[in-house]
Amino acid sequence: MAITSWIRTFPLFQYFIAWTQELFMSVLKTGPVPQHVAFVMDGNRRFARRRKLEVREGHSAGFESLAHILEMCYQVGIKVVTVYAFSIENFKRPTVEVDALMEIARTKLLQIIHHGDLADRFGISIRVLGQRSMIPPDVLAAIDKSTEMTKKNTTAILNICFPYTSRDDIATSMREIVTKSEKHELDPETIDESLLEQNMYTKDCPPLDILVRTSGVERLSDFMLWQSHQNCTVEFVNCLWPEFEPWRFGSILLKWSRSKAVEFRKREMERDQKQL
Amino acid sequence: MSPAAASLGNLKTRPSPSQSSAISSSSSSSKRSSDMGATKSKRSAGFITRTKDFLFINLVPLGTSPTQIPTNFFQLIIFHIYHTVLIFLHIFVSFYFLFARQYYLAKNNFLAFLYHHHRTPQLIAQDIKGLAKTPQHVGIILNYKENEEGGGIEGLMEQVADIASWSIGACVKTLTVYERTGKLNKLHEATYKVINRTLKSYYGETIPVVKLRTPHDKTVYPEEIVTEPDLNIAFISQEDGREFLVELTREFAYKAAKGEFDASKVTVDNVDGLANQLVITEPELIVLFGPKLDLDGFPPWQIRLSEIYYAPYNDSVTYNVLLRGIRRYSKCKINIG
Repeated sequence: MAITSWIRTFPLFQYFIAWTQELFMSVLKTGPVPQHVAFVMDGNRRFARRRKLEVREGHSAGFESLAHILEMCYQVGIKVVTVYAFSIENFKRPTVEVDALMEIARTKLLQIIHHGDLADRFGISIRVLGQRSMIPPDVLAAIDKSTEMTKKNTTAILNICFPYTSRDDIATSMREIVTKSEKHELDPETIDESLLEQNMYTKDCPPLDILVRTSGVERLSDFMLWQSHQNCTVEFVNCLWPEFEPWRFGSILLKWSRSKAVEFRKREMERDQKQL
Repeated sequence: MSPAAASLGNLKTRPSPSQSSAISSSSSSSKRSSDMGATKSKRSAGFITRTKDFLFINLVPLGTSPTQIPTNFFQLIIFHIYHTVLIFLHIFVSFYFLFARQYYLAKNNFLAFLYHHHRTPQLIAQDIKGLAKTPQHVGIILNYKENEEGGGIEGLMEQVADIASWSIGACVKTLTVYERTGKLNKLHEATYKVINRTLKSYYGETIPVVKLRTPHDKTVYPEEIVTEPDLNIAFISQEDGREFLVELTREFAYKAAKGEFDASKVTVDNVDGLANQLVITEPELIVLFGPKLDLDGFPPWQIRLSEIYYAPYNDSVTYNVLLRGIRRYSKCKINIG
């Protein structure tokens, strides 16, 4: 609309928006805040098609959107953010696109290394989860370097799932446990849910609180199946990932914060009733 | 909460150990005051320290992470100002939900009226006639309601019978019924009677054949069937979810420890084959009949590509929800990769 684009031309508009965002995050921080949030960044190709851009530019726009959302997450104090960057199934896409994605991954990781933008400002340590054997060697080198560089940060964790499928995650965890049992390093009696979780790629992370999927698709598509099937809020958002505005994510956080506060209050009341 | 608290402890937090042990995201105020008692006795219990502790710790609401506890007076004021704003925002969201709930309830009721099955299979067939594809395997998640009207075990059986009748009308071949506590898992005979009674009201005297099974107990009802059943119903519960994968790992580990099993054989395809064989195959559509999207422990392995459908603020098992789920499934594009 004409009015909103006119308002956007005001000199301090961006500054005002950033200030409002920080204020909102500070307000949210005084209540329950999720510890682990996961994103499925779906809709980059459709975005490119709609705006008549190349697919590569759709993925770039998606990365910009990711940077904004990550900034919000770490401002509000979310400890772990997991992002679904690339699925093992995506290797079946045309080679041009796969190469473009690998290129984006490599350049963006190098950018993070050289400038240290987001990573050092918020104390993020970057981890790449998934089947390392399927990644081309130059991207693997960039990944190892960025992981090494950000290892000293302990405030927050960014998990990039590249390439990852949840079933592969679970099967790898099972295989590791069985291998350890074969070598008699592990007693099969002690195998339970938490042992399986400790052998998955997301081993040191708190349980998943929110899973957000964009582009209106209402499936899990082999992402975080084990973590999201109980005690997790799954949100399906009906806009494409590059269009996933900060206010949408802010409203999801607010809803979650309210439902958790209601849950704590209910638990407190039940406990008081039991004491009576 | 121990893995969460342990990982919180790994990452750097600002407050002192006594405070961080007292506050975790689900701690109770009584636990807080008992820990307060411990810290009080450690320091000399002066009046000023006691008020300070009261102001800074006990007035902080539940659920606030330990890093947010204010450490001086100015921060305390700011904290409470922000928290008041948050409470007002919560109230605003509650009002929004109030209106949203009314809208969705009205929409549900209207659609229930519009798409009523009237116990006529032809109407159901008409409803799905124009759809590009219909699911062959549908999974549903039911909630056991103990003290409500239409609840209890009989309520569950009625719900299953209704869903079975609609599914047969919609040409669904397999139905998986998930109820977290598995109340219906051992009640095949009674459920079969209720299903047949409902089917008679839909189809008259020649009713379609239904076969029930519980994968966990490996039971099938009725045991001998002459013709191919029109609908296979599987009853699963929480133990078919994560616990199944844990059991599988344990069995593999026992065999590997004895040297009878090679660990490299644990691949995605092998586990997939076993999961499909011993529990259920992958449902194409999952319909939730609760008010919000809560997967409630449905087996994680099999839902990787399932379309998940639910009607917001809905709490009853109605035909129009199932129909809308089938319609959603028919419109979705599944690209693997």
